Amino acid sequence: MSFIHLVYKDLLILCRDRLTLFLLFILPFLVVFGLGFIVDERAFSNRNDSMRISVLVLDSGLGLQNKSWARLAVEDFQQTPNMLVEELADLTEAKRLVENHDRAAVIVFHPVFSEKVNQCSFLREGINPFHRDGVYLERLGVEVLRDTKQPATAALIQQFAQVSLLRVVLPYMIGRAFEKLGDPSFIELLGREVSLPVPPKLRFLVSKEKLALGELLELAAAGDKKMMDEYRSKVGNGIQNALSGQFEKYNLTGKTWASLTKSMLDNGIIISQDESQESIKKIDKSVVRFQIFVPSMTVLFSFVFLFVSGWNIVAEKKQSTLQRIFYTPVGNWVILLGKMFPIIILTVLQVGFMMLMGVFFLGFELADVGTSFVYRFCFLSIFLFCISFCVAGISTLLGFLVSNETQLIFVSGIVFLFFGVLGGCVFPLEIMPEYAKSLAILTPQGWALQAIRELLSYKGNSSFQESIFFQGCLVLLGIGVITSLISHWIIVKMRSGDWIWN
Amino acid sequence: MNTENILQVCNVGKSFGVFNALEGVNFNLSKGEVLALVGSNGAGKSTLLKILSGLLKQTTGEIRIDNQILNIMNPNHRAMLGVVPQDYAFYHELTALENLRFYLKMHNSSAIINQDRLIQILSALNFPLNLIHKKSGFYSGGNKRKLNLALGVIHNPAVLLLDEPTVGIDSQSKTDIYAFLKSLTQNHTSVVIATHHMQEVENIADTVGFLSNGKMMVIEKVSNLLDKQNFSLRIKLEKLNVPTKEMILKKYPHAKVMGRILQLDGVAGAKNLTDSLLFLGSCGVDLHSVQIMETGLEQMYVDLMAQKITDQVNLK
Repeated sequence: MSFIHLVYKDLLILCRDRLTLFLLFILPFLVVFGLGFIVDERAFSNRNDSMRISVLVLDSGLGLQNKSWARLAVEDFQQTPNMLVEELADLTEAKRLVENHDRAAVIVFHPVFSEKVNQCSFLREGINPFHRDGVYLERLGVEVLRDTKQPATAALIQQFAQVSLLRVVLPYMIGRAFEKLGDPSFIELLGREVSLPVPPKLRFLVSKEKLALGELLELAAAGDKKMMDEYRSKVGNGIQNALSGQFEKYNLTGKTWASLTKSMLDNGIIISQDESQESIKKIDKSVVRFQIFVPSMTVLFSFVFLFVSGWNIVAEKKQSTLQRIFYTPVGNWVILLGKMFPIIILTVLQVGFMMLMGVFFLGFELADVGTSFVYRFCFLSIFLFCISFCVAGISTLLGFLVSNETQLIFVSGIVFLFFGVLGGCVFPLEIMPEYAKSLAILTPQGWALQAIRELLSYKGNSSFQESIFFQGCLVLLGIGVITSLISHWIIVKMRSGDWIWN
Repeated sequence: MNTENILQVCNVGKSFGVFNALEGVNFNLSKGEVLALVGSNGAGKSTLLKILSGLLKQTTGEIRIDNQILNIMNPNHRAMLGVVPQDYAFYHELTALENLRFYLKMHNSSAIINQDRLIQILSALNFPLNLIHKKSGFYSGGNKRKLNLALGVIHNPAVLLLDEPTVGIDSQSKTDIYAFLKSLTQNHTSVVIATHHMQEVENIADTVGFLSNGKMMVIEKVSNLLDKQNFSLRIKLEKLNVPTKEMILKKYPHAKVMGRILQLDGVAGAKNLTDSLLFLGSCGVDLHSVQIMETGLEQMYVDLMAQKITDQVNLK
């Protein structure tokens, strides 16, 4: 009975503090709803979701199609999905925008850009602009003005520039190389390099055992230089036609990424680069965002109760109300569970509420864990109990361990935020380095996220692995049990006067 | 007052590392007796109260409650103790009645809450009954103190431990609290009260213990101390002739005579005070007015402490 009175008292006090109730339940709802609204593409159908790439074109040289190479590169940027290309007027403006942190980076095509690209070639005398991850921008006369305060975005833009220029320069170099196959100089080289044995019965015509291809052409032209050039040209065209026939689905002389990647199916239908990009666009980004966002926010917010419960216990210690409870004959476990149970109730309500939000507003549903509603409800209850017991255990322990509110904020802040980040509640673990992923198992949030991801399915993707779900739940339960046992030990020490706390 | 001891404190000491917060404290408390612990800040009053309430474990010595060694983990022993901390140890978001109900249930979960009894306790403290359904956080300092005290006695403890129960409140509330404590002692509740106020000691305490640097320097019945206190007599005479003056100075060589004013200092105890006045009457002097100045417990405490310190220095 004392247990019920303890729980009732804490809940009554909390209910009377309406602002706290609002913050605990309505605020997470608003955050979920607000973020959900932002990530839902239906909410802002005309919004521009692209990443902005700022460029400055100083190049007025000539590339292909009577355009400068810089213009062709900018057109390539513009054809990249989800990129909004912004062209700046001059270098002063570009520098000002970067210095004022208005742009993370600006890609500048200097006047020599077209000239440099034209010099790019696989030939010995040509410029080789490539390195392992892209192109040497400086070799091509491209500069990326970077804002040192926005290094991540600047790095992203630089990487984008490198990959895009790879798409511009590489097809041009391939095209030029392919054209070189028809060049008289190449045929002359080929003529020297390729030599064939002369059959014995034809040796009466030449007094050699072997004859180079060039000599053969010379023989065929009977020493006529004009005829010899014509034969060389024919050989060159023949090689080119043969290669075109061999790789008939690709236009190797196109010199642009679009023509190079244009491929033809067996039935003759041409699939363009634009069409394949369309399939990429069809991947609803909100799917990815929701799958990350709903479970992670639900787990993250459940750990807000570290502050609530911890603060409550610290306040009771400072105000001597806990001391007064200790003077009563109530048992130690009753006191401990009396402090934990209100938090369990509140966490279950909050997490359940957040999950229902996900189900009703964001297209989530419980994973296909069984056919009947009762079966699914059991799995949901197991998860809710495990996470709330874990939260209650940690928060109660912190409340008993720390001496004042400042200590509590720091310690709970670390558990809430640092462990939250480490556990994957803030940044998805998928984008974290491997060693960081392995650290997630050190945090309760990591295990909770593992379990809730199994339990929730999104838009019909309902694969459910019981072992992963129960592994997460068991760890949460274990943390709850261990922290509860330590809290109980502290209460015993406090009540017997062995723990100086007030 | 019942002479049977309800609380026995034998040679209790408490050390925090090398620091001795309490050393060799001894006293007995009989049923219905009020013991006041007096001392400056850091003297060891609160430490002693924490030990008595089980919040701290003593390093040395033994405490007995109702002739049993005090075991704070024993629910029966807990039930015999009532503690009123100096803080307002109640929930400010709850009303007075809700606080009382909650702690009563904590003491005895099967207790049937009798609201009339709760109101009776509050009435005995002269607590305004129109506030009992209002959140206690909004009460005045005096009413908060009264609620704090009521929560300590809700389960009828045999020994009540009070840590400065009247600090920061008005005189009317103090009077109400003193009256309430008197009524408790009449029902054989023993009280240990830590205080700085000698007036409080004179008003409610049967025994006073002077603590200094963790040691119980003096423990004495308040009535005995009051009997030992010194008086100063300042007497204005209608007239004073030379023979009378000589008689007085012969009897009291340290008496000061300033014109028609006669001052006798250091008259020890009430009996000597009466004797002095009778002597002056026998000398045939006509009194114009008499002013009696008590040194009081406050001065006695200061004098005693000074004396003890001097003795300790001399011993060393």
